[in-house]
Amino acid sequence: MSEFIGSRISLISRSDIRYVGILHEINSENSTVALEQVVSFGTEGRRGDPAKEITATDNIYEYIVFRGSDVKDLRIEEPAKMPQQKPPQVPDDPAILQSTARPPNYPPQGLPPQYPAPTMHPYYQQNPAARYGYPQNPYGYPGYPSVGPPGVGQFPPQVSQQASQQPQQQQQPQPQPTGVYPRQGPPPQTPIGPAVSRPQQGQAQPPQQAIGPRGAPQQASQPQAEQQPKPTTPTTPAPQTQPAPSVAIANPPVSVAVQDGVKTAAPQLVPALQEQAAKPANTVTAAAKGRTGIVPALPLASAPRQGVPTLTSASVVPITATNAAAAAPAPKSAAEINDTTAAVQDLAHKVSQLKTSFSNGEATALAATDGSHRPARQPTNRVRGGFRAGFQQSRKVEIPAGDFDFESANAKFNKQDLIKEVIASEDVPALTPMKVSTTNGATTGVGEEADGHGNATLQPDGFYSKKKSFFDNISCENKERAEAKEGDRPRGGAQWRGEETKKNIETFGQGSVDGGNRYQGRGGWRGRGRGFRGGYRGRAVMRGNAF
Amino acid sequence: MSAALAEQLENTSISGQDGDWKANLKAPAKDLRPQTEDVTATKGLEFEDLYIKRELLMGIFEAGFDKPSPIQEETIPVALTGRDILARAKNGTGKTAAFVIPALERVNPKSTKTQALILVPTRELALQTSQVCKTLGKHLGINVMVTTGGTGLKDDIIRLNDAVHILVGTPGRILDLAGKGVADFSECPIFIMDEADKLLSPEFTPIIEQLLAYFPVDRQTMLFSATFPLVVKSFMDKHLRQPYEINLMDELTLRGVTQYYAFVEEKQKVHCLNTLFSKLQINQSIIFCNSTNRVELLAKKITELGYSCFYSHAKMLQNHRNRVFHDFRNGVCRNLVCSDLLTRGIDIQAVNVVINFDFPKNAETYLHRIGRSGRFGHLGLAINLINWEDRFNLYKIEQELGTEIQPIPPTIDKKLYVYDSPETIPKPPPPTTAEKKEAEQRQQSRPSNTSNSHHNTPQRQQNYNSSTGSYQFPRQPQNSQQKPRPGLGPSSQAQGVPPPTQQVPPQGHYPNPNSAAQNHQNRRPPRYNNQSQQGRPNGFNAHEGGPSVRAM
Repeated sequence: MSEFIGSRISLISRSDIRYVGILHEINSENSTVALEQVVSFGTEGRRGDPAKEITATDNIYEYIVFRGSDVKDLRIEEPAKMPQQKPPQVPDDPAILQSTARPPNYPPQGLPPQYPAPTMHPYYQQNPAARYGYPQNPYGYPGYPSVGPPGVGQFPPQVSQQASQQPQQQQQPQPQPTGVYPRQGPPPQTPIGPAVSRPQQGQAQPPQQAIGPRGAPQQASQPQAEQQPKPTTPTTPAPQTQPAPSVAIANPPVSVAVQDGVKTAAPQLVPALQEQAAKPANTVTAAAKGRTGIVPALPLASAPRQGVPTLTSASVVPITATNAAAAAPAPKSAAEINDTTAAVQDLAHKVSQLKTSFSNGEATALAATDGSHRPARQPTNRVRGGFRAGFQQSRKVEIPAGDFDFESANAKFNKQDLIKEVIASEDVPALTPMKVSTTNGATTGVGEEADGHGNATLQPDGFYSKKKSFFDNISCENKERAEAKEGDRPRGGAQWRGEETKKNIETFGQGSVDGGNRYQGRGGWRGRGRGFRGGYRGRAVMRGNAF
Repeated sequence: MSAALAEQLENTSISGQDGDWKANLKAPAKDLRPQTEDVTATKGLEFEDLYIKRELLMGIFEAGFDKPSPIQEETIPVALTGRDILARAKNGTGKTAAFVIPALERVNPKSTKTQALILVPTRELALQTSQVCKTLGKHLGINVMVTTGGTGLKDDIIRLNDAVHILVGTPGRILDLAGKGVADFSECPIFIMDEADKLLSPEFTPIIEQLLAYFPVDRQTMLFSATFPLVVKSFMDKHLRQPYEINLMDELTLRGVTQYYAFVEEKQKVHCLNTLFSKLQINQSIIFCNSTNRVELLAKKITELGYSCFYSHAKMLQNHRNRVFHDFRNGVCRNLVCSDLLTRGIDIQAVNVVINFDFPKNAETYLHRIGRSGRFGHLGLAINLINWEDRFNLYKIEQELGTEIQPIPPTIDKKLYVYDSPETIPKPPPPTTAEKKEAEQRQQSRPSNTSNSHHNTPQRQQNYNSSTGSYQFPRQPQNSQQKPRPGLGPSSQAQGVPPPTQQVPPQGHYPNPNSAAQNHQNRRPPRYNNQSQQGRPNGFNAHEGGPSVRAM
């Protein structure tokens, strides 16, 4: 991704306003896109209604952070330099997360200091109660002594080394997440919590540098206070201008906290936020509308699922937080909301895709600074000091201490219902329903039964019958590939990889052991069929089965 | 003069003593585990009844073979007549020996021509099959060579300057060698395809057909597999002459393998696996994932959980793959995470549990995967982690295989998969002296810093425990508990490692093999200790052959 840094980007926000600026950063953790020297070209007729069009401005905004999920389109134009000007008023666009002077780069390719970060950080430290409800409950901290009672609320500093050495006895009890994260849509996601915590880490990091100069140990309960004195943001608290949206938008972690954790853990924060949200409520603010009504309507169910633990997890936070913002132009029809839904997903996906390719550096940056209180980072020797070294962005899959309860898990799955479902859907040729016998041969297992009495029933002749044919007709790779259609997603293709990464994140908390760049272009499934002669020599890694 | 004559006389009389030759053989300890009728339902033939050479019989018995399995009984006599054969038998019921024995029998050691080609779909399987050839043909004075992709072609060419009687390999490399005129099949009478349906997949079929062009028309072609889908029938029609069909599969699945499913959410899979590890009495396990990425990710997680595991997949370097395969076969590690690369043919007798961490997409893959346990009619367990998306596949596979996958019970009867005397489980045969030498030479050239790459032992933890500061992959188990029990192989005897015994605590539903006192945290299995490592720094001991890719 870094290769795009510095190139000139044309970006269309959800409000149809086109911005052109120099790409400063794409922060996948927060799913934000930061542009420097941004020019707004207005809606350029995209809204279709002259009355609603927003005209272009000549102003150049020094630095704008866009919410990734509110970015409709993003194109790279040729790099170009533009004269600098003082930024006047920023258009009223909920997609704008923040508009300030360009912050200094902390790490190479640095994270833009997010306001929420300073906000959260002190809170993080000062409010012990909040720790529980916070990014993730502390039981989940991998380095946490596994025997300790949950909830002691200490973050053992620098446990990360140990973390990998010890069996990951994450003490996160299964029901915990449910209690702690009152997620709207989906069932509680992986008991990992990084989806929420990780971005927080990212934001908790800058303060160590950022707070100092600012000298304002802000509290989460006064986010507005700190939003306003932003250096370059037009500070006029006029209802129609920035402050309101920017408060809402610039505080994704806060809002996340509200949604996810604070209700239980830090109730005192809620009023503050509500108050904050209420203040601009008379205006069209993302904050008020988004938080109240629309969030649940948005595709939380699917979005977090896709994004949960690691790489794409970044996008989750903004999604929840931003859905509000996205829906800012509030009186939308249901259809529109659906559109938004799809688009948000799409963008979240885009951002997450972006992320996989450039995440390492950032992840390193995050890890490097947050290690003090977040031991979850992988203490592999891959972290070679530098920020950009191939940090493995791995989050521990937290294993509940107790045994997996097979019985209750299996109780959720009824094979008889499955048979009905199959017959109903007729996806699979409906066959004689299997004889389900409950006894299992003690020594010879299942096979005996099949032989004993159910052979004819269990073995539909359609697939294999020794009497009928030497050959079988069971599903197999040869058949699948012979029947594969052109439109099918090829194994190893981009889409396949994307889905696999998502699944990996769900299963393991990370998309691949090394950030996912390794296998690209190595000739997956598709490469096998062609050029079998040429491909055989010396390409040990490439050749052979794509398994 | 008289002494010489006397000696000659003595020799004559020894070779004339028919009853004695067998008694003098050094057969390995007999495997006393019960077997299912998948391998016991024979007509009652003995190997001696098959009209094969004494020297070959010696190799057979020394390898621990007792009586021919059904497929061997049926196949060997027909194969010796030179007729084309199409043979179908369940996983792990003796197909390999069923074609290796007739091939060895028909080879003329005095000729320098290549007289049999054995094609297999994967490199690991090539290694394994060539090892069987060498073991069984030990006394025949023939030369077996294995050649696969992923290794230097030049070495193979040099080796083929010598007489190679039996060539074992994967299609691409064999075709390369044939195309260069290095491998001469013009007078090669035997063409064998193991896992034939896999070799007839779209990417292999053209290679096979080109390869067949190098063979004489009157060759004998033999195809073996447990699965023969209809789509490969056209090949048989085209290239086989009135093949003799042998089908010993009344049903598709093995009787000794009990199949369970555990319904999980995707995110619960690791937790579920962790619980399985703690509750099952795993002698050795193979854990299948559906992609290479997931193999590595899971191996990492398992390591983080405190268990040791190896992993292998097709995107690894070949020498790493070989090491993993070799070491796992020798019981260095209890768990192997792999992709479908090792789904077929791999014969590791000590594996009693197969876990489908990802449920396979088709019945064929499923069948071959679970066939990694329950080898040679023994008992085994197959546990499938099923998520909501897998449910149709579960149904489909059950239907197609005519089997039932039951929900995993709270208690898994040990009788279904645990053996009381695992020390007699056969291990891969020890390499011959020549192989040892070769292996040693190979080791010297092997980059030592790569030796750890795919041995996903929890190295840090290990280091943490033993505080030796060494990250070398440990070879010797300090604690026998962790070592799987593939049996008293010659190597472990030589090293004085007693066959590990696992105490099975009575409490709990599942026997917990790791609850022994030496457990550091009463949870984690004991680790290898670096300090007890006696072997070479790269993990091999001198007397144990490394993975000899082209060993002869």
